[in-house]
Amino acid sequence: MGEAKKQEVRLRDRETFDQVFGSYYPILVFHAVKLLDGDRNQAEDMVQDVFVKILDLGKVFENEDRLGAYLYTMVRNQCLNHKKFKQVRQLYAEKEKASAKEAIPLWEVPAQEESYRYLRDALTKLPERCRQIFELTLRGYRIAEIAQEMGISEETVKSQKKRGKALLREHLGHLRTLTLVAWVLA
Amino acid sequence: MESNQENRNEHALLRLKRMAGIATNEEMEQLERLEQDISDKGHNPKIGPTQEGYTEFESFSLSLDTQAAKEKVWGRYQDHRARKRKWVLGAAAAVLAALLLSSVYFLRNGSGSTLEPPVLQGVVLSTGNSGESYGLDHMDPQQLLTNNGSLKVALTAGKMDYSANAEGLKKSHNLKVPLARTFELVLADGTKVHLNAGTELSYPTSFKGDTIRRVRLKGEGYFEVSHNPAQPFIVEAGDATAVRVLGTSFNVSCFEEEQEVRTVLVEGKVGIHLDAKNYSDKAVHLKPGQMSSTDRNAKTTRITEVDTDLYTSWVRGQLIFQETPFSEIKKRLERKFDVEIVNRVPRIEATRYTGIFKDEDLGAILNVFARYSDFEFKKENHQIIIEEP
Repeated sequence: MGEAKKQEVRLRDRETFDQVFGSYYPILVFHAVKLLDGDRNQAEDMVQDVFVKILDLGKVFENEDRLGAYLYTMVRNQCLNHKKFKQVRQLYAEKEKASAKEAIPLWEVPAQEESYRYLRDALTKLPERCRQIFELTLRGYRIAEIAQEMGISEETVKSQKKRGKALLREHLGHLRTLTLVAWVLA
Repeated sequence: MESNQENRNEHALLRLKRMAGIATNEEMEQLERLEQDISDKGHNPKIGPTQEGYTEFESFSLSLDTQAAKEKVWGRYQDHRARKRKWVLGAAAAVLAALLLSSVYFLRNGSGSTLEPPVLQGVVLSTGNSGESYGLDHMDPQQLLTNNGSLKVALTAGKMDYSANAEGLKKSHNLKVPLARTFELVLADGTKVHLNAGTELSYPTSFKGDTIRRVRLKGEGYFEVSHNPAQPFIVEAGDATAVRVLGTSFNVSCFEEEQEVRTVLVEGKVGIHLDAKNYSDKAVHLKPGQMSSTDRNAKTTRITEVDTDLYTSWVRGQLIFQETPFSEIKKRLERKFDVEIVNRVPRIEATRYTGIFKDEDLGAILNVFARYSDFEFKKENHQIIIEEP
């Protein structure tokens, strides 16, 4: 992930598309659902539209960061537009509710969500069992509970966890910072 | 704002490392300094990635069908391209036709007509996102193969088998079994699913690369899941329950018109999640011979000991009732025989019956109840009417 960032990104290349879509789709939908007050179907549609648009336009991005920034920005603008449209229709019905949610400034959300994407990508690169153990750990399961859930011994859980940590360190450790300087904050 | 953003990014990354348990001492100190700095500037240092936040996202992403969305997006893009190309081709053809008085060459490249789709009878398979549907009863299995290239599926009467497709083409398929029929499915991982009448199952044609094997069920299915602890199997039963499996045999019943989702475990081990989308709640585990009943509205699960035969007999074509109220027997008969039964004898609704039927027809079955509880029944159009004598 880190080293490849310098490269140009052509989404029309199927392999690139597969990789980018797999990595970004969940977090973008996650992001969009929040902006759309929980409308999940709408969120999925929005994010898909954004990808189709980029493919149709045949845009080439200088590097993955640029693409990432573009994706988040497009998704956010689309969602906010959609909401505005809806709000006009509803004659300001839920305006109050929406503004109450702005407790986290919008420009701070991407850093948080990008880090989730990084972690998820890193976790998917772990061997299956390691990954499962890690996910359960993050969910607050204790070693004994993980062993029970997965039907393996506690010793195995411990050793797999150790191995997972080493691998994660490999995937995430070299990152100096989340390189998200290219935010276009409309 | 720029440097603020950089701070945030660094902050987020450090918190991420701490969360994953891989932060070095140096990085922990750096994080403390940064949080101090952020709060000095009057911002909230607690904003940023959290374990709960990540778990929420992780669960959320599991509930998304990213693979299907990906194919859909790519398909839409290809469609747009094809349309553009067609238009260009069409224009060229017009020119050529004018010149050569013949455009046969281009017409041959047309990709099928857009006739109204016929209403499909019997067992219906819908493939991919393009929404193509096939009636499996009168279908040449080759049709599926040739249409989808590398998809390896075997189709015989009453059974479809994807087990040769473990490494093959990945698409999302949906199978609908009509009333009065059952169907057997072998998924790409070798898992066997018996689908009861009036049931719908969505599943991928291959589980390759999936972190979990996930299928969605509406109706009733008996699962014999092939063991693979590294790739858990999850049955999403409506929106009320998800059954997480390690390798085991069990029956799930989640007809939309019924209040409860029931899971009966025959052997092995399963966990029941109330959160059918994200499975974020802690699972309730079943032991063989137990049944969980989840109330769709109350969102509660209770566990009872049962005779598993009662709930799996339909797989063998049998109807077994044990202390079963007539209201439920009625529903099962309606599904099995694709009829509507109108009961005008309210006194029997709650009467409980015990008995086994093997391959009797509906008339013979109703006769048994009629003699026992003293009612009459007749057929009127598509309805069976139960009346007082």
